[in-house]
Amino acid sequence: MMKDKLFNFLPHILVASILSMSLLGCAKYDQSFKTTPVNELTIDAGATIFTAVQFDPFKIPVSIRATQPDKAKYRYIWKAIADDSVYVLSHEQNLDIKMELPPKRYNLQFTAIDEDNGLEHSKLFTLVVTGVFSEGWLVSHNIGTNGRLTFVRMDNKMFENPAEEVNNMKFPGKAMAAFSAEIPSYSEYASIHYFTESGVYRFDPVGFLLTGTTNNVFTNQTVFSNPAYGANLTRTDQYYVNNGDVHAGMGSFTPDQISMPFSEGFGGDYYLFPVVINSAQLGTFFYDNKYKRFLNLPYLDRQLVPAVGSSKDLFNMADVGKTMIAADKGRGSSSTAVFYFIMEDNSGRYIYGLNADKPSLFQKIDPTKCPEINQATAFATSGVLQQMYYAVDNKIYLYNIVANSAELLYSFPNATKIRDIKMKRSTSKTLAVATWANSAGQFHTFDINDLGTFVGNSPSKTLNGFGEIVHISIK
Amino acid sequence: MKIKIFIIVIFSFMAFVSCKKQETMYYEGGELITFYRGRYDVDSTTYTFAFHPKPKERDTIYLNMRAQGAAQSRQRLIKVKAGVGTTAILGEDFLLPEIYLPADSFSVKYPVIILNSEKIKTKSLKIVAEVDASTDLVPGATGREIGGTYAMNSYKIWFSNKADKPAYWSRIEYYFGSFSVARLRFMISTLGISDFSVEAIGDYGLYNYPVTLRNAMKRYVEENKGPLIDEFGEIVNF
Repeated sequence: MMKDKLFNFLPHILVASILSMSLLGCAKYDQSFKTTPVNELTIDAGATIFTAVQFDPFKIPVSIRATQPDKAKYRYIWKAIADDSVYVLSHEQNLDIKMELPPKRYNLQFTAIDEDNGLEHSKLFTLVVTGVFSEGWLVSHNIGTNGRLTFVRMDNKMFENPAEEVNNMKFPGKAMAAFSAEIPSYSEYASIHYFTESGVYRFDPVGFLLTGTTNNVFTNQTVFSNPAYGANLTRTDQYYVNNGDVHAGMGSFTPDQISMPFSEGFGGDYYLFPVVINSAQLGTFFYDNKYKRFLNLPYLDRQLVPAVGSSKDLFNMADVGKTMIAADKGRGSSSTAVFYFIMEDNSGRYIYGLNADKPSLFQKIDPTKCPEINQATAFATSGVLQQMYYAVDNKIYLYNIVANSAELLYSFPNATKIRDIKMKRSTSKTLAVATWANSAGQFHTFDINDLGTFVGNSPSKTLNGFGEIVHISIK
Repeated sequence: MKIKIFIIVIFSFMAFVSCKKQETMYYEGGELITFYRGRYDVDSTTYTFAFHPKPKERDTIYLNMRAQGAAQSRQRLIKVKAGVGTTAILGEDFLLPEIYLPADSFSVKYPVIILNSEKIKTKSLKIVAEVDASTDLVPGATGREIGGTYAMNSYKIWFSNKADKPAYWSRIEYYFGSFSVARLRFMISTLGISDFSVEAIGDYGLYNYPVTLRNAMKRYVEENKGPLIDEFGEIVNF
């Protein structure tokens, strides 16, 4: 009976509960909708990407335009952000600091904080901090019998003898050449290899600290002559051509072994011209001046084999029959490249081209249209245009490969002799030239315009203080 | 209708009171230890004194051991005994020292010390190293573990002073050629090392040592006016 009453009453209790909850849930919405205009800022630094050199002064002036300039009163903060680190650089409107961040790419954040209402106005930039010895030229030269490795940064700042200054020690022996050995994506294992007649020295590319000598760079190598460095296109191997033979170093498959010594020379019956022809993915080519033919080295292999050639091609890679006297890279990508070669025999000089693994050019250079081509001693090709620069004594010519003709671009004084020329491969807009005159060496750079000729018909920069320059390479 | 409501209320109440936090189960038991091997490794190895550049009186083979259960803040005694099938004599041909698993550690390399003697010049001896119970650790559970390694309570070692083909040779044959005693002795005398396993020489050795060997063989042929012939009558080259 009691239970029946309870069940009859239950629905009434539920309805009453829901009604009372709805009633109690109502409340006055107490909010003001009055608004005040916010002061809007436009921040401008003239660029969005900035490059700074570590330990150098660094400035970014900033202009700020406000929608309510009279009210403006701000605090400022500059932050550099990379990975998990945030560095506070300054609390001034204009950034004016000595750059002490480690070399790296950063997001650079400028923030103006309105002191009246705490609103923050930010602008994001990109900041690239490079080391003191960032991109530049490695110049090997000899003052008397003393070799020296000078570094010329791309902004033309010259470091006369960084290795000896940093390490506080001498590196004896006449200079021969220097190379930046680096596998892309593994820059932490990069090295500078400085070849002298007394052996090889290995330096850390960031600060020129000595990290090894001959035994750390080569296995059982005692003779050094005409070295040339290159990695294959797959980055799985590095190679040195030295004294007519090839040595292999480890690459991207085993990054922790990149810095281990290069192998002994492979020891075949050939004498290689000093160039690593990394034009194709599946193999790297070399040129044998003994049997005058191309040789191929499949990736990860350690034995050269004759390149496959055909008499139906523009030239037969397996039987060229001419002596290679120069080689340089033309246009290229991460998967393929064009190489140009100057070959000669008793009939004169020829230009050959290799596109990936196929002959792409065979042409006798016309000496009537290419002045002094048969006496040229240094060559450098453009990576943009089908052009080659060649040097004879004091003169630099531009050879138009398609037209098979050359024009004189620049003459140094008569007593000057050009020792080496090198193209800045990444842009093909700068040609470095080493000269020797009156027992003194000079290093020049020429800016190149879109036609391939020199901007202003003269060097954009000339640096003094060198001995006899024997080799230039880019770092 | 009333009965239905009553049933719903009862079930709701039961469902509510049956909720209970689940207790986490932890391993409770003795402290255990086993040998272990990688997923693609085998449960035995061979060793010979024959290929060392300089004669050795004794050498050590390290076996991987791993504890089961929680790490402890004290060091724990490990004992290994010669198991059934052992043909070598403990104390005369080999030693199984007592060692400690360091505090807060799960794994350790156990040293099996093998001794060189006249009798192993002509025959191989076998050691079955078996986990023994100590005051701190007893043999653990065996079989495949999470991560793909295998736990084992025994590990077999064959050792001799004979010029036997190393167990790892099949993995390096592509780079160094078919096994022969003459080939291996030439490799040892040229490079000054005797362990050419992939673990010991890495990719660097696989790719670059053959260049050194090829050049050394070229000099050998010039100096000896002829090639090196191995015990199978084959010319050794690299």
